[in-house]
Amino acid sequence: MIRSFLKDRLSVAFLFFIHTAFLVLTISLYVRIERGQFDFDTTIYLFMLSAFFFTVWLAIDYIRNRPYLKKLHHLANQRNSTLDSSLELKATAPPSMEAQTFLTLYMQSQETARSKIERLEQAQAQHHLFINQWVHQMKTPVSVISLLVEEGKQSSAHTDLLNDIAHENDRLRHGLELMLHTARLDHFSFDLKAETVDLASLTREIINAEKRQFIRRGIYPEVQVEGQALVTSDAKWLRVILEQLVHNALKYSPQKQQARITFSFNKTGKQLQATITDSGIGIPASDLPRIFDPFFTGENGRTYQESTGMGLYLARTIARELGHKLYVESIVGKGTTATLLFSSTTLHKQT
Amino acid sequence: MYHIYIVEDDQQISRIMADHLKRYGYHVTQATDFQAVKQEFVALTPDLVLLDINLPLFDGFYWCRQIRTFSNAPVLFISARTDEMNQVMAIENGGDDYLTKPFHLEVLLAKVKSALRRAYGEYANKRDEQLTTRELNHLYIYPDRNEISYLDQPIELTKKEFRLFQRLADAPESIVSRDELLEALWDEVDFVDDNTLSVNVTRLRKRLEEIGIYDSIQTVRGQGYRLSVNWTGEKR
Repeated sequence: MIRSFLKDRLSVAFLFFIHTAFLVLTISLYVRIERGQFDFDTTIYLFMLSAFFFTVWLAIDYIRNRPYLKKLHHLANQRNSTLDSSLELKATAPPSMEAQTFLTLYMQSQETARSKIERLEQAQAQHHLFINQWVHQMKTPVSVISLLVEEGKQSSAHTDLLNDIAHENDRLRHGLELMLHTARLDHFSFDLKAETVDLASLTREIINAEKRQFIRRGIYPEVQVEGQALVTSDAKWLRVILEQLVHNALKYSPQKQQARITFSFNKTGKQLQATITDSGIGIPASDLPRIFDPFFTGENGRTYQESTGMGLYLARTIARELGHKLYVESIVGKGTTATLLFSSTTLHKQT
Repeated sequence: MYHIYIVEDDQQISRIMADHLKRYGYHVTQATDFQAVKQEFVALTPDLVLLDINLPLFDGFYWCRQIRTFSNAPVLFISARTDEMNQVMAIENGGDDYLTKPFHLEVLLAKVKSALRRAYGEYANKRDEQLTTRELNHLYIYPDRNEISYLDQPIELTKKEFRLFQRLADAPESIVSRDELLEALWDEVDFVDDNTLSVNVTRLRKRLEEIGIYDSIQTVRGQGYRLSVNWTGEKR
């Protein structure tokens, strides 16, 4: 700080001493003509005198500038600057006109940025609210369709047709839920609840909720677990991850061929591994590294119409937030294994 | 006869719920005026209320609080919102249970039953049984006991056998697909596959023969099974 202050005044110092030197030279010449004697000590003395005055001026100037400079350097070296740093600077009363003008500009630009951000945030919040409302509104027709189908099944001969409608309706419901979860991701930390979850029963619950899908597609789940598989997590979000993995396994398994999807849980020390294995089409090795990228659908996405490229991205994002790890291994034509790794007994929260 | 009051602003959902509950022997009234839910409640004095949360004018929480000021009748909330906050609010505002859209009619019925049972005790059980007991051509089905009886010979079936029989008896003389039967058999712990279904059907046929019912479950190749109720005939 003091070095930069001195650096700024280097040219002034330079000018001052050159000026002094010329004065001394002039005086010495004059004295030489008059009396022919100008001793070296006087020269030194004159220089010292001017140096003294210069130093006094420098000190006063520095004291006047100090609070402003201190604040300025402090703010400049901060890691994350806020948008009200200009106001903090203003409080230190910048000593020079130039600094004041500059500060005015700085304040204006910060003001503009602030109001822009505020506008965007408002628009974002509105959008978020709208999506939320809309999804919930859309759930009503979905419920009506599912109830109508149930009603129809009791009294009509078009069961196949109704089953198809129910199936499409399920897809609609899944889509809506995906939308809702994605929209809710930004508010993630607000509704996180650390609790002990029994993975085994949660898995069973999800399988049961999707039983129509399993039966329709002729795929059977095998849950390999003895007793409970307890982990610390947030049940609601964990459910979203598992639902997504189950959904993928169902979608890419061979249909109507009595295929199996295996769920297994292995405990090793403090770690618990949950794997979901299907015998489906698999994922090409070239696509594997990118399957967690948002909107990435890859080879399979081109053949399967329903891929949004959002499911796995969502699953991994949630897993990361919860402090679990999610991997996917796959061999084309053999199947895919998704592994969810729970490492600690406490829910790790990123703040 | 229990009286159920439905407050749901979506006409279709309200109608379908009402029809389904009526079929199971409940007396149902649907709300008409969403400004005067409390008045309607007072006039009707129903035994149970199905209450949607998102209503015009006032939300379901408000009406539930209103009802709670003078009545202890069970209130079941129905809502599209799945988040815990809403469920907590529902319970805190005096609700007894919570149903999220989209729901299945069986789930609705089960929740209604259990709420009534909690509220009105054992007496409700007996009446339930009267309501649920069914008769098919002199064969009686008791869902609460997994029991069927024909010509005064009762047999108790296993849970799976009974479910299978019940599903077939729900649509006598018409084909029930394998998928539908599988759906009926699946439960929390056991995920039944195709072969197990065949095994269960065979077992059920054997059990039915014990009370003198032969060849009632017919296999329709490639489609499923059919329950023929023509068992008053001679034993072969």
